[in-house]
Amino acid sequence: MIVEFTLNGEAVRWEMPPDTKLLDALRVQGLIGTKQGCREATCGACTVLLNGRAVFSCALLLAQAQGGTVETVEGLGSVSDPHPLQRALVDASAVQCGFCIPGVLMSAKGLLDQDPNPSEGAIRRALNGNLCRCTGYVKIIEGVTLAAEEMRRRV
Amino acid sequence: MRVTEYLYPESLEAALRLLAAPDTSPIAGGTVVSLEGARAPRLVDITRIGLDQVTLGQGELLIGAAVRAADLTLETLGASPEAMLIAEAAAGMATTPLRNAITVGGNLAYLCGWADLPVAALALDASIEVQQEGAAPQLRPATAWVAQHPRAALPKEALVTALRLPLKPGARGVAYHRFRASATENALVSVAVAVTVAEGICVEARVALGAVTPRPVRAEAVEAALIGGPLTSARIAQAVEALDVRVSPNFRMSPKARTRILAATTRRAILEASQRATGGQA
Ligand SMILES: Cc1cc2nc3c(=O)[nH]c(=O)nc-3n(C[C@H](O)[C@H](O)[C@H](O)COP(=O)(O)OP(=O)(O)OC[C@H]3O[C@@H](n4cnc5c(N)ncnc54)[C@H](O)[C@@H]3O)c2cc1C
Repeated sequence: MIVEFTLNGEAVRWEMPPDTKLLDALRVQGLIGTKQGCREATCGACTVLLNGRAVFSCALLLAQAQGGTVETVEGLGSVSDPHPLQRALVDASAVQCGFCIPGVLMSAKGLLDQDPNPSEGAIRRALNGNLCRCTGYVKIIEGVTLAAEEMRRRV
Repeated sequence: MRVTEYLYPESLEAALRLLAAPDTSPIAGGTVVSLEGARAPRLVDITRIGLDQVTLGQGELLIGAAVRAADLTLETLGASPEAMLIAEAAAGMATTPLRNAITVGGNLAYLCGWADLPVAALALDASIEVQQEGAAPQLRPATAWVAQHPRAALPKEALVTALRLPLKPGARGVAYHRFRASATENALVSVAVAVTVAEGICVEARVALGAVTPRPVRAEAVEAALIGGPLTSARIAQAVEALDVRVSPNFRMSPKARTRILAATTRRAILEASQRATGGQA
């Protein structure tokens, strides 16, 4: 089937079997920033934004994105021009092995897009679907807090 | 099962017509369909047909089947004890990205052992609205809904269209408590309570248990022991001793331990609901 949607701000038109998972579609198309971890909606490494909300792309079909907008880590920023969230996670030493980070970034972006000044409780709630086996989360939460401050300064 | 077709009807009527065809089943949040595979080769997306509305009617709160778990908050449901129980049940469901996908209808229809909304629906005396082509909408009481799995009880072309909650009068208090080992693990115990108090006496009590048996159940013996007297902590503790639900085995915890946690969780939930009903005067 043909699925048309907006991916990181650009209109795309992908032809794939109707039971293709969004995760697999993205990776087949070369967007391998979205990680495949558990494939059972538990680890959060595959988190992307669908219509502005964080979702697990392993627990969603590409077809569900028809007409919608999808944001992945590739749309956030680049090494030369990082998004404030990417910058802040590095500054807070919140990145160790890095496997969970694309998912963490998208969950955090989903939160900050809706709530630019979140409480620590709101940050924890937004990230409760993203497992990190390295950091113990404290620095990740510090990083998201830093990014929120920076983003508020910019607007 | 291999999916060969994915359809996007634009109205409820069109969706019901499509679902009446053979080899067709609905997809809503897709969390089960994507992870476990489809039940039929033709999928009908029911998230674009206006079922994502919450309506406050005459003495009733109607929550559309395509409303996402993340939207079950007091802001969208309005303030009522019934809304509070649904919001508390939804707030602890799964994790944030799953709550952004899971729908009310999918949670009710799939009815897995740890599903939270059927437990809350049971405590609130709710009905599940079901529609199918060529028939008038049907209301199925939550008690009937959990007595037999909907997959067995309903024809395959039937679509859950809403969860309907009666808004009951009087001094009402509710509470939803769950016990689980971590945020990403399934509940080992969940308890939904709704009580009504009149002149210091409990006149109605609904205690629903989730995650301890294959489908949610009411703790009727506990309910009976609560009704007819004041909701003091002593009477509540005594009522909980009437718990006679046999906890299913689970590899994470022995039935003995889970039974004790069930009793403690039930007692706390009733206590909180009672305090809310009486404004802390119990
Ligand atoms: C890791 C994980 C943890 C979870 N934890 C919890 C938890 O703690 N508490 C909890 O309550 N839930 C939890 N869930 C969610 C639950 O198990 C189901 O995944 C969810 O309720 C399904 O909803 P959906 O909208 O995604 O359904 P879908 O995947 O779209 O559909 C599921 C099934 O229901 C049918 N269906 C969907 N909508 C309708 C309808 N309106 N009428 C008739 N049939 C319909 C479909 O045909 C399909 O067979 C968890 C899920 C996962 C993956």
